[in-house]
Amino acid sequence: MTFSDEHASELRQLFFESAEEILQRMNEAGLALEQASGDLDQLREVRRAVHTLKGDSAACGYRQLSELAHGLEDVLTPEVAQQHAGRIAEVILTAADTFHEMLAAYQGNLQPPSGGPLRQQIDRLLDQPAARKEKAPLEAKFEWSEYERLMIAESIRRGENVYNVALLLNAETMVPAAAFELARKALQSAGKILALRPEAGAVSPDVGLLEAALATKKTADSIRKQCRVPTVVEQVSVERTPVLPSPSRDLLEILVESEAAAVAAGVKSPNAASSPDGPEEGREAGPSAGLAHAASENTLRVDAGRIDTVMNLVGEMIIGKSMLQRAINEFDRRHPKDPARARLADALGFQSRVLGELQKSVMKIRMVPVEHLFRRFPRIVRDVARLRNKDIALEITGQTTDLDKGILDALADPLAHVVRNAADHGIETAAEREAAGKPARGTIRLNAYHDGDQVVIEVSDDGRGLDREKIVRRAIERGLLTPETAAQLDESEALQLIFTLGLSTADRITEISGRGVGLDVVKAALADLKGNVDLRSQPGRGTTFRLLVPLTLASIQALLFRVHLRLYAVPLASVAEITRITEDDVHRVDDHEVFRLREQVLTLARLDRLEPRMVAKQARRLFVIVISSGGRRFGLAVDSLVGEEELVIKALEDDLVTSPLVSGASILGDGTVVLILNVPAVVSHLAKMPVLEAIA
Amino acid sequence: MRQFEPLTRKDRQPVRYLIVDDSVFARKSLAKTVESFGGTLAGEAADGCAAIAEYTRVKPDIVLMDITMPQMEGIEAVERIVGEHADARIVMVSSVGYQDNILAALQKGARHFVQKPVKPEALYEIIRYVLSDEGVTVGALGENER
Repeated sequence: MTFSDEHASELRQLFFESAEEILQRMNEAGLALEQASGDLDQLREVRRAVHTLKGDSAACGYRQLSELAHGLEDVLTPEVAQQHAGRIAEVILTAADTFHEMLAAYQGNLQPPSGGPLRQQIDRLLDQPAARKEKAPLEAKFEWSEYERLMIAESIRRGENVYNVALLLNAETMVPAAAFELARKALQSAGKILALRPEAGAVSPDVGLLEAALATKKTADSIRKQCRVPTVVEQVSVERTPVLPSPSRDLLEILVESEAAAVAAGVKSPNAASSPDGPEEGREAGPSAGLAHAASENTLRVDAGRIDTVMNLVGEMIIGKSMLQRAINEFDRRHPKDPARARLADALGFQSRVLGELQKSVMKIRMVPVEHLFRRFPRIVRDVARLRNKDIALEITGQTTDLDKGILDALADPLAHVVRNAADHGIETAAEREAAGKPARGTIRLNAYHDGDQVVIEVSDDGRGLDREKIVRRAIERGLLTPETAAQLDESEALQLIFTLGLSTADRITEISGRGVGLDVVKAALADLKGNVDLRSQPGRGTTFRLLVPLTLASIQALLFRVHLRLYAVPLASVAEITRITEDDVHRVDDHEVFRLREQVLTLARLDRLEPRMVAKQARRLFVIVISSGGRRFGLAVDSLVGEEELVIKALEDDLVTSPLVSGASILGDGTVVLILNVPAVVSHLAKMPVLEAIA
Repeated sequence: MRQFEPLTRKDRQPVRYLIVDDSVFARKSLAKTVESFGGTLAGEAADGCAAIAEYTRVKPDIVLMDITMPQMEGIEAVERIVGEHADARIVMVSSVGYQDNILAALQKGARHFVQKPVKPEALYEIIRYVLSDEGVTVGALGENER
């Protein structure tokens, strides 16, 4: 590979990354415009983004994409938005999808899709303005929006003269924005501007014709005189505004109530429209969105592999630190009187403090707010709601919660599945909801927060809830469990069945979720991440899914213990307490071994359960580590406790350890290998199995 | 230099100009131009601060103000002068390519702008236009209406 090839491919990689961000912005702007089609700031924002995409894709040689982006850019003007208020958002969203497909094709070196449907949508929107451009410049259209027509009708009713004024700006001016401003001021001095095209602040360099509706007491002649601004305006046409059909009463009410203030402010003082504190903007742009944009200004793109390398090196240093600690301990023993001991201890203390900081800093680099993940969901929910004809609001909280980038990426698909599921199956149609006495609009809540060394992501809906009976019936039909065992299931165990392979409670298979691949995939994905998923549901009230993932996959504080001379570890955060019991304290209930801890009866798990001689040993005292995870507590019988240590998790090859109960391994300072238990997996395993199997 | 039909005030007095530019050459050149319109030079200033003082002293009919100057930029001077004298008629004079500055000056209250090198015909029309709201008597019809 020559240098330039390598350079080009690096550039392309950068392009794909930034293009993804642009598509995300298009999605957000599309959704915002769907809510408020008059939001010109959003329109400008998305136009800028599309413009960037056009340029970047052309630079990478992706001609089709660049051409489509160019076409789209033409559509994203205030004029078109005004004329086709409802359709502009649709085009932007379609474009985001089309561009996404094209990018995927480019990335895989495939022939990109033609983007025909998008092209047609663009052409349809462009039809009118394009025709207008080609006509003689002073053939102004004076196509005012309904609100503006309302203002005009109102002025005429008050006895004012309203004129449609068209100004042809000097095409040779080097300063079009200044020329526009001057022409606008001339109009303003001639009367009250009721409507203006293009709107102030949205002037493109090739603005030729300025159209306005002007309410004034002056004569057409004096307007003409006042608007003939030397060096700036070449031609002026002034005509009486025809009396327009008055819009319907409904419209008037709606407009006056909701938009009048904002639009009037925009018409009267164009500066206000572009100021960042405009009323529209304040409502539409969430604070976090602004934050993210501000933050992105000052970021540096680094290949994730480089950070991993640093992280690995820090891990090696932590192992090195514990080697040093051991050496010093030995030195202590041999030379208890040596004054160098204190100096060594100081140096080691200092080094480990700095090392701790270093590790934290490197981990922070890998951390990204879950907002990156949550940003995708407004679009997903909107699409499902549209397809299913439902009314669904999405509320997002905790989006600033940090999570390891690798985990975040791996969570994207399972989480999207859960959210889609909530929108598709959880939330009922408006009619069903009203019949059940609930608000017609359903709500899905996304929340994220830290809980110990875990991050919890909650997806809750206020929909119909899960039908326990139906789940159990399906499970029996599929032969996943017998009616007898089914009868013994408690509520949460029954609900857990929906994570079982191929089980779906949905009566109809939809293209959104359903299709048989279901929540079992979510469960598996979470297990891969050493995480877990659980759910709560109340019939008629809604369902909450909780996705739990570890904060990081890099290192943990762990408690080390031995069972049969083999070394194991559990995350310290999941240890509730440590107690001692004798074998006499262990009782059998059904198939479980249990013991009593103060007022509570806990299941006792043994890692060596399969070795029969252990059962024979009676009256032996044993240590029990009480582990608490996800609201469940159980005891883990161990032979001896070794101590606490910071463990750097080394990923294990699948063929080395096949048990899901082990989440990884680590190497101690003396080279000993320790297996780290996957606590959530152990908990769910306990729920399923009478006794724990041996894992090693 | 071509002679124009004199632009005069309503009281038949010559139009009085204040010319603000940090370049002596530019001031001289502009002065010659406005004299060809039948105007008189009421005052000169080389920076924004001096322009404010000079405006208060001479109360000119028209200010020709350069946009980029040392000490105080033209834009700020415009804001200060218009703040005190709402009827001040200021025409910005700028080099090519200062669109944002021109725009800002217009928003602060400047009445018009002309780009360097100043074409006397254009400036004549601009001054005629800027004075027209005060009902200035114009000696002749403008170029456009002939």
